[in-house]
Amino acid sequence: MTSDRGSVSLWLIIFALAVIVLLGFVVDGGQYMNARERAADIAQQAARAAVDDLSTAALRQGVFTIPAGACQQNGPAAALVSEYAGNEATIPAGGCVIGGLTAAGDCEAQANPPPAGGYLGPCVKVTVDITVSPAIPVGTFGAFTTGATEQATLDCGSNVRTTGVC
Amino acid sequence: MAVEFAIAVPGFLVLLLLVAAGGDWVSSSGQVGAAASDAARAASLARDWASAASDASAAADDDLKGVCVGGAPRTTPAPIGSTDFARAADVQVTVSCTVNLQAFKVIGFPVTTTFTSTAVAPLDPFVQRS
Repeated sequence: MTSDRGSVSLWLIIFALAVIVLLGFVVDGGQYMNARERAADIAQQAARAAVDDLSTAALRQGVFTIPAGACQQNGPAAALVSEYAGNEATIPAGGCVIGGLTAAGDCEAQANPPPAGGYLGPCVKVTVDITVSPAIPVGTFGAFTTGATEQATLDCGSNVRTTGVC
Repeated sequence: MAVEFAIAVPGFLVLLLLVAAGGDWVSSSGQVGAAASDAARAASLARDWASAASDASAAADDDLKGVCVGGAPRTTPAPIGSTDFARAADVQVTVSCTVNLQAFKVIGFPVTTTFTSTAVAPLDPFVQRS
């Protein structure tokens, strides 16, 4: 009987260590997923902000063009991302692209000459990176960075998506 | 040994509860974040400030139905770029919600945490607002 004494304490210690690792997976893994979702949301709003920055001069000619400034440092997309509290979100270099919407639904930097079928309209694609410091910094879960890429497209009210002219 | 285990059982249970509480914490913080972005988007579509504020609250309330202690979350919208909603570039919404962690509620030991999340949505410059 005496040889068994105290063995449950050992069990409890092993169990506690296992639980801490499990807790790390649950909490940090969850935070990772939340961060991805948040990055996707910020990227969506930033793309929307950039696509709204239409050139009014071109608009008077009936042409829809998004000036290069929409994606620059002091442009609307960068401003929107910087307004998020904590500033944990950033647009990486080359993370904001003004392009054309392809028939497949992707937003690509416009090639010259355009692909067969042309582009369906001007669009902006924004990538946002988020750095998270996890609540339980166990093992590999130190500060991690995750991100998402989202796009927004200009659409004409009635005369839908021709060649950038409504 | 059986007696020892019987004594240690509450200890094991508390440890397991900790994992459940952690999951709860993460899930609630995600829900409040999602509610903030929905609220900001809802506010950005409104034509005047009064409806922007009420649309934001409605969106957040809808997302956090039954999550917050004491009913609805606290939703605070703010125009950015100008104090005037008609001239602002973006709209920022802060959603704050106090959550009762279910895992602790089970053992009759309520633990509440307040989550706050902020989201920003752009305002369409080609829409007339007041």
